[in-house]
Amino acid sequence: SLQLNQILNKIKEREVKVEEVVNETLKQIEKCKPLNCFITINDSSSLLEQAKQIDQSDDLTKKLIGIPIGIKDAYCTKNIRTTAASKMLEDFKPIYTATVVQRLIDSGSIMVGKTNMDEFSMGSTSKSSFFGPVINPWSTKSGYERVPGGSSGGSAAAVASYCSYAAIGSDTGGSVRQPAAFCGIVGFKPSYGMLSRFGLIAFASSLDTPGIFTRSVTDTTLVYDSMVGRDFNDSTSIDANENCSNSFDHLELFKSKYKKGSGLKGVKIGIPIEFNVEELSNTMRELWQYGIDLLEQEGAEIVSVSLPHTKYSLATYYIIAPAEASSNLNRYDGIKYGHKVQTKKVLTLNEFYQQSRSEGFGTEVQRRILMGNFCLSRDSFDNYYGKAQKMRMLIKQDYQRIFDSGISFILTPTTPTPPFLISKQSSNPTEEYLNDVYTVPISLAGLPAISLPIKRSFENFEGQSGLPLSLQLISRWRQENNLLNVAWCLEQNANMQQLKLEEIEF
Amino acid sequence: MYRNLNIFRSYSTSWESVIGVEIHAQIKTTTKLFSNAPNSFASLPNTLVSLMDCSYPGSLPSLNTRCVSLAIKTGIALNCKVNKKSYFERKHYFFPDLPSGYQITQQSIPLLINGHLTITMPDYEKTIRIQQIKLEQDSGKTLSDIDRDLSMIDLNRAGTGLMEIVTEPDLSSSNEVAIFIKNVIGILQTVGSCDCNMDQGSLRCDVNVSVKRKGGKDGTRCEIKNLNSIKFITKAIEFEVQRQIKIIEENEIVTQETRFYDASKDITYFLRSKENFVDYKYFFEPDLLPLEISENEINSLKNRLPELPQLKRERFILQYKLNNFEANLLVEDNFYSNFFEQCLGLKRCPTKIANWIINILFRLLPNRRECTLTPFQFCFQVKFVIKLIIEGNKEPIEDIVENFNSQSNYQNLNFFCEEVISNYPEQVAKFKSGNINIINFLVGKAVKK
Repeated sequence: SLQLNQILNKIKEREVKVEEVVNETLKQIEKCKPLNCFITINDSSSLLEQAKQIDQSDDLTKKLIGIPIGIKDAYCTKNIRTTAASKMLEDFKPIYTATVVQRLIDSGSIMVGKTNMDEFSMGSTSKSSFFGPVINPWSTKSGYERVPGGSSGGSAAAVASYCSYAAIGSDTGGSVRQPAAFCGIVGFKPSYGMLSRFGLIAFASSLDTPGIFTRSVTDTTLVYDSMVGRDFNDSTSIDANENCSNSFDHLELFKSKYKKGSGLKGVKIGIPIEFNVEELSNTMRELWQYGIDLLEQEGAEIVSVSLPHTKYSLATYYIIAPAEASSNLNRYDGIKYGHKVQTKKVLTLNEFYQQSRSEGFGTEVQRRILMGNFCLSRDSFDNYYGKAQKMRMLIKQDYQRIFDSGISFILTPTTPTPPFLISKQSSNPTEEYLNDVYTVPISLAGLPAISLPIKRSFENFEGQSGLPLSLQLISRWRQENNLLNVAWCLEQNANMQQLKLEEIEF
Repeated sequence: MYRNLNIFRSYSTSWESVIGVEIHAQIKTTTKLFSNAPNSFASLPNTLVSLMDCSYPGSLPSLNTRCVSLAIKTGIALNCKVNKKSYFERKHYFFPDLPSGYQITQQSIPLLINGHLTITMPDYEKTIRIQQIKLEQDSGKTLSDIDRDLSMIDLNRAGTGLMEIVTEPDLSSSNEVAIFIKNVIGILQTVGSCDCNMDQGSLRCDVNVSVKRKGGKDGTRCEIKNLNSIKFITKAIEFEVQRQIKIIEENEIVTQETRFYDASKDITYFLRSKENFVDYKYFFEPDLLPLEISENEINSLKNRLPELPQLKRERFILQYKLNNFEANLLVEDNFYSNFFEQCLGLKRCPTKIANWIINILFRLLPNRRECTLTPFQFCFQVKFVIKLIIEGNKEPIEDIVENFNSQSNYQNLNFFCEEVISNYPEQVAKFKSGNINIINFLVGKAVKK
């Protein structure tokens, strides 16, 4: 139950063997099988072989040497099944590895498996997976299971249940931050473009951002540093300058100079009034205030700010994302790869497309494709996609204005509620979309943000107390290092009681 | 049925044809537009396909800037304005040879707009406006004639860069269209952005044809596709114009259609109706940044443009005293304008050389570009061949003229030369008695055959 940075030190000091680490991890994965965190678990003998190789080698300098890591099944991994949790890619084995995954492998980490998720990254519960739902390790009591969040729920649950020391997911509208919040761990989404999307099975191209799950901010810096850097395979990938690279070293420097009680002197934190909606539960509002107090105690100045276009964020997102998704998913036609309709009947070309795609895609995916097609259709384009793009610009400008006025960070809750029951049925399919209300505006603006577990709930929520509650910290574009520094500060002061190994029982 | 539109015109000058042209020119780069797969013709199927070209999950486009440079040079040569910021968009439809289910193209803001090209017809000059030139991906190929039950998809061509050159409907006859396309080919070859090989499909043309009575309102236009030679383009236009005129004269209505040209029957036939329009759901390509070109880049490309055909033609007329007709023909093809000037380096008689090229090479060689004679061989040895035959030399021509194109051409040349010699004994005698220049007369006669 150590953190990544702690076990990394032990490995480098040869205090512990990688083989032991991997063995422990494999045992934990076996124990936590009921959580359904993984779609594919890599063969244990080959993992142990990798571990032995590292133990026998002289060189342990690589950044993440010997660290077991989970990879969301939306990332292509060479020769290892990659499904995007869909029947469409049930048996798909890519011929190449995504850039960010390759960089993690090159840093010496050991990929233990591909984690479960919402199908094609569409959802915030991880219930829509073709391979069954993921269960939140905070609530394993039969009949009272909770969602881990989504779409990267498997990655979040894997890290929270100690099945890996870190995991990567992808965040389009909150798909890393929200499951991190629901699983009580750190979820980091850098600026759009900071991490390469090459090899990430696309959902919404202008929003998809690779993200990182760990159990501490320090761990996050280590993983981030291994992944960051421009990739010419991705035209939207940007250079990392000194404000958004070498975050581990920057954090160490920050820690060494930090003075408790005044470490955040001169830092202005914005609290957006429009995020304080009536629907926000008292639990969350108190949590928010708690976080504000913690930062104030460290010397930060708290300022009320206005982001007037916030209320249009969800509608804007739920036009742009499905529109781009419907386009990105056109390629799944059963001809080149993926699911193909099997029939002895002679079909017309259109029938072939329709049946292959209807069989291969789940309900939520089909729903979003239809929504997207509608928003892009000639008669609706101006009123939907066209307007949404304009609104997106206005939302971006809201944040720009705040940061230009001297605010360095914005603090908000990550989710409107604690993690809810899997059995909870919504009366209409779009109700689930309201989970994203605090994460989506930041995705539209392309800003870096991190979700931090702050404390466990005192009140009962749907039959359970002691559930993880998290806050979200947002910074200006390309200020990852500063964001992580202040996040560390909040983490230290919050002193969250993380999920213990003993608490995970079946 | 009248085949020659000019004849038709003199009988009924009340009809006008309104024609627009869309030229798809494959950009001559070593790799494709958004992927680094090789761009080459005639490879084994599906061997030039990168992740991007078969739309593999997780693949992303990466712009080949050389394609952009060549397109800009082409546009400048066609007097276009460069849009300093243009955008790529996705055009969606489902078809097996379009792996992503969308084509990356330009729609609302293309790279180049508002150009023009002035063509020289026998009696007049006309300026044809170029609406736009846009960059886009080529699709793969669907082959349905190899196997009765299967459609074969070859993605080698998928993702190759294309320049789509679209004119306003300023053209009024099949002849104008032919001259226009030849001029565009000349420019593309000179700039080096396309090898314009219509047989291999590196240059493809669609035409939009409508007719109207002089002074009347515009007619409905039909699009004709599948035209892979200038000859077929001309014939298809002529057929289509008459088809439409006949329909209107019979008080019927021309419907907006896409038609194919059948070369064997010399007709256009209905392919699909344009009335059920396809909604392509265009939106800006999110995986690519807007295409931004600076003033400096534009100027630099402008300065690196070689001498364009128009200027070359004027120079040939001025400098070498060629006439319009000769100058046009020579300038049409980059290879031959260079060949001509190289020959001039060896033998300073431009009119004669021009004459020889036009009357000998262009007539003898079925595909003008395949002349493998060097300028030296051409200048000194064709005459030599005839001289030798007259002198009774029975040596095989192969030994005298190396690398001439095909056996059949040797035989033709030999045959024609022999014929001429037997037909003009008087001139042969004059030659044998020392009048060397008479050989030109004989050469001229040989060539006329």
